[in-house]
Amino acid sequence: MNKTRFLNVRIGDIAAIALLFILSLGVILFSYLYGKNIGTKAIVTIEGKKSLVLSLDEPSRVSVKGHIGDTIIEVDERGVFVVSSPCTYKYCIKLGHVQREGQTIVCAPNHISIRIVGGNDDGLDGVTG
Amino acid sequence: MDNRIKKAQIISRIAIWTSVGIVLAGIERFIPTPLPWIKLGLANGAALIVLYSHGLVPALIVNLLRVTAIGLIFGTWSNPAFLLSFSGAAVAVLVMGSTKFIFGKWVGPIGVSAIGAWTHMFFQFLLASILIVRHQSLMFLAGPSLIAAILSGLIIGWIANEILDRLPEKILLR
Repeated sequence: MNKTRFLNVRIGDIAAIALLFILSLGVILFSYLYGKNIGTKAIVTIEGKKSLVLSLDEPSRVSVKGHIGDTIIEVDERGVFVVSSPCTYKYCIKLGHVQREGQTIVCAPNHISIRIVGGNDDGLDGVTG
Repeated sequence: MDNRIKKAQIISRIAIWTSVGIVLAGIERFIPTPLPWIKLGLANGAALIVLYSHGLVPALIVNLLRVTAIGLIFGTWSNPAFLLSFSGAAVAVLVMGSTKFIFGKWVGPIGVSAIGAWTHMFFQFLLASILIVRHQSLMFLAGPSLIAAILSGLIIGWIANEILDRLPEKILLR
């Protein structure tokens, strides 16, 4: 056997490793593009108190009374969004739909916030061997 | 007569390399790693040596026997993680064998080992996300784990390559 080559690395080895690195980077990229979990519930908080839980599964429309007036929140198949708000700048309406876990809509003047939470976390764990 | 001796030799080699794999997998449990599913894959080195010295089928037998024995010894038998280990080991050996068969002219044990380790990790994540967890956040763990698998595959492949170079022909039965 030829033992003079450096660590016995062949051309194909380097090519294989390069290919694997590219595939891994592809997986990382994919996970950052599509990885965020779609939530199951929206928690509406008024004046700092959790007051309403909306399910994201079925469309609904609710009106909640905040600090300065009524905010209308709607759920459709694309997520939760604010239809109308009595505030000045309407940032909460411009934000549009939210549906992924951890996303939040805040309507600061009206003291209302809407947060998306997941839910089906099994908490399963194990070590393979 | 000659055929029977050859058969007995193959069976005993399979038994020896399986026991080597079991011991290596046992030792591996004491080597600390940053995350529990990132492992060196020492036992895969035994399968790699068998793949290069005896061929695909003995390597498959060695790896599956090793995984089953380790499952029985450490009590992971009959939990979902065992299913992942078992199928991951089978897929890894099959991919390593076909890589050696198709690209054997250009790719040596180091590349084959890296491909095997990567496939093992990728397949386990795929199966876990389909069967057990069904949670897309698993994908965030997959990328870094795959990079780690390449590195550990390189290390194990290099060690197996050195062993293959140094072991006498008689032991390897080539």
